[in-house]
Amino acid sequence: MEVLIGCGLAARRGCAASGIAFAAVALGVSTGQSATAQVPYERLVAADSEPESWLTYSGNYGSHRFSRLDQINAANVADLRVVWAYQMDEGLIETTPIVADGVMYVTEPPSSVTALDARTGKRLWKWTPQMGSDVLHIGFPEVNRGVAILDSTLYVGTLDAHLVALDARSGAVRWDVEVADNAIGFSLTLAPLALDGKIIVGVSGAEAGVRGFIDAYDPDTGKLIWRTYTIPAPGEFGSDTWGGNSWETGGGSTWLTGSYDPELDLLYWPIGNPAPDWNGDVRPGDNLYTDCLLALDPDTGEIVWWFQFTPHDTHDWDANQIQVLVDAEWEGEPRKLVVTANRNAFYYVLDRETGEFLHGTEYSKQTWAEGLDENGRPIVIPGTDPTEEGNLVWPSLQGAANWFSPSYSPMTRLFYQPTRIMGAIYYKADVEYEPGQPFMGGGEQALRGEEASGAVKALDVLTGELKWEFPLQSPPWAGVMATAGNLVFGGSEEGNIFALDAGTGEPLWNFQAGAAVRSGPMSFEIDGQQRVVNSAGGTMFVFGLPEGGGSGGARPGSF
Amino acid sequence: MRIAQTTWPLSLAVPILLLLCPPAAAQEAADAAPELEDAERAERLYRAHCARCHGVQGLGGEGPELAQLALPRVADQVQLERIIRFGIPGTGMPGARATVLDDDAVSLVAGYVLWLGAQTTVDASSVTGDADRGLDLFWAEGDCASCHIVAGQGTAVGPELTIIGLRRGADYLREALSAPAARLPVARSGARSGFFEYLPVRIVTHDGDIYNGMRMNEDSFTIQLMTVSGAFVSLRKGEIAEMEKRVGHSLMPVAQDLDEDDVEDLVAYLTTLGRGS
Repeated sequence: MEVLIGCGLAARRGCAASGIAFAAVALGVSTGQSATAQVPYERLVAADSEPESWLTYSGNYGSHRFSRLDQINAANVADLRVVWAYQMDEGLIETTPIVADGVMYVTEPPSSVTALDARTGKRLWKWTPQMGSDVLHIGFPEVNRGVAILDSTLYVGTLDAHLVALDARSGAVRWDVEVADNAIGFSLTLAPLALDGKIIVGVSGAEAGVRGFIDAYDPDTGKLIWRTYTIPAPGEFGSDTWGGNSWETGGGSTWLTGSYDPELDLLYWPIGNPAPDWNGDVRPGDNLYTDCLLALDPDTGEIVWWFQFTPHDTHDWDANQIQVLVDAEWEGEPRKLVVTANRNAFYYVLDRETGEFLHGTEYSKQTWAEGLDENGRPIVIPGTDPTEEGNLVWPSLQGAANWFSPSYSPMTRLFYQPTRIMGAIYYKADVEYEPGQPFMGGGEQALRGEEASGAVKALDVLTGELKWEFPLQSPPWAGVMATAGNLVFGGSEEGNIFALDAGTGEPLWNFQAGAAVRSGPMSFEIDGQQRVVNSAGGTMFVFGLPEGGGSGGARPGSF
Repeated sequence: MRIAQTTWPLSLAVPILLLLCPPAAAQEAADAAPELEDAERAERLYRAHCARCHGVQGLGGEGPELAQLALPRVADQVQLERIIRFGIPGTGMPGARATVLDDDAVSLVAGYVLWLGAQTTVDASSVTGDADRGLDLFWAEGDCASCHIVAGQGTAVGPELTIIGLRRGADYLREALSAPAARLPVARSGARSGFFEYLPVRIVTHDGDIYNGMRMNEDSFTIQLMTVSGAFVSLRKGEIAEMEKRVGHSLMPVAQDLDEDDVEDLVAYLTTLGRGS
């Protein structure tokens, strides 16, 4: 029975050791699965129906990062306070926790997994992979963005490019497979995506000249089900978009979690930059499928359609942004859409059944394209490629958007995008491929300080039209989350964890956390109390309203 | 001075000697042609491994500026090589394992980084003033210590100048005296990195209070100021009716009463600060 599942979970590492009674941990579990099925696929599909949980990286398969909890709202958000905090291992925190049945599963830098009592923040177990000190991570810091959960197993990617399955109750390893060779630059930093009978992962490594791919693994055994390369080999469709042998080191990494439409049974996965980043001379052509969105058949990995945002990219503008699935009326017809604010400073609306380009518009300062043509292809302004002397272009290589999450509120129909407003002088340099070495071919000198800034922008989800913006001092690295309380939570480089009115952008709450915010907020509910989570510096903060919250649920009878 | 006492490998390039030696030796060094060992390979390695975050010219980007005379974490090349090899835990600075950068390459990159810093150094031959007279000017008639601290003496309204001779070149110092608003100091670390320090701000609150001061910090919700009288003021943005950030201005007075010789003497004095003489 379900209550016992949760209690046993806690009992292994928590109840027995500390004497704390965890009987209520699993209250509210509504699944009738067997003792091993804590979070079956059906719960992932129906994630919107249990807003007390947070079951996937972006909160649901459509990647809305929207909480349907409304206890915290515009009227009371000013009272929000820290309920508990958790100090992580040293490093950058880019993770989004999963919360299921009273337990929070969170990754710590570089690749550890920790289970916490979601009520008190007390640790239940922690798993740390054995990795050498010489793990390569070329072009990105030692980060991890979170776990996936399926049934009673957690799935985590590691910096040394393994995918590991952990028993959710204890942290014991179920299986551990090497996805790719870290010695030539592969890593896993993304939160895996759990589907029905498959764990989907992508890889980092384009700055080392890897050939990117997307993998599907059997959740029970770790056996590879399919692999789809993002760079076509000679003879395959798209191979004519790569000159010479450049495809072999073409990049196209797949380092951010994709989205999934269970009805269409299509998997949406964004693809990274071509390699080398800034010297496009050595890879003439459009360089498919770099900077693309791919729609894949999750059973076979077959590419059903593709759309390329930045053909022949020379600015490192990966398309590894969150792909948001929206159903809406488009010119009088109901359409299934996928929308995204791309790193290249354009906002896109595509038909997610066919990949048809419907609309695109600039949402942040850019100086490289006159606009998009009727097929969504950018009309590139000549002379905007990197040069040996340097060439000033907006946005900077980190883009107008990056991995940090946007949010979509079905209540306001607004798309909330943390936006970087920053230019850079781009340089081109000669580069030769050597395995396990940086393969970038140049660099940038970003404009900084008063010359750069940021904003949380609220865009009309269908037109990309700006509805409001909340200014940020520095270009942000933190995601946002809208809630049914008509709020948008976000974070800043200056250490603010804040809430805005989702309709107007008016600031309603601010907590100075003392260090830069580099992760995306999420929300869950425990004991009937809504919690909001965000991290800054080395600490994860869990916020709640004072009533009934207090210091980690320390009420009479709780202990 | 810790840096000046460091034993330095002889193989290092001339501008680095300029950075680390007392002025007399620096003068001697400056007379030689400044060259970087294996400059082409060093630059290539730097661009491949460092420029993505620190900028091609070392002016910073995602990572901090390297083109400065004294790097806060670096006392000598050995320490810099250690940072390149092992990274800085808790920051975005990764280590480079031996198969990526061998010892020779690490040494070249470190040398290049120090060379970048040395490019901002004083051309010692351009300092023509009398440092002793500059010292008198600074502490007596110039009254500079009413706004600057040197070696623990003075008042902190403007930047501390204890090691300004290590951090800034003579041209910069000349400009700072004759046109202080031309180039405000820029924060070099933390979230404020790249933002102006000592930015004059004028604020009027909804209550009608008026504050003139320098911005000490700011985020989307608050701003912190020091007024010209040295008082600390913390305001929430919601309290503010008007705020003018006076980019292009400085609270440092233009040295109108100083003639050219006075300026040169002050520059000569300031360039000695932090240089162990």
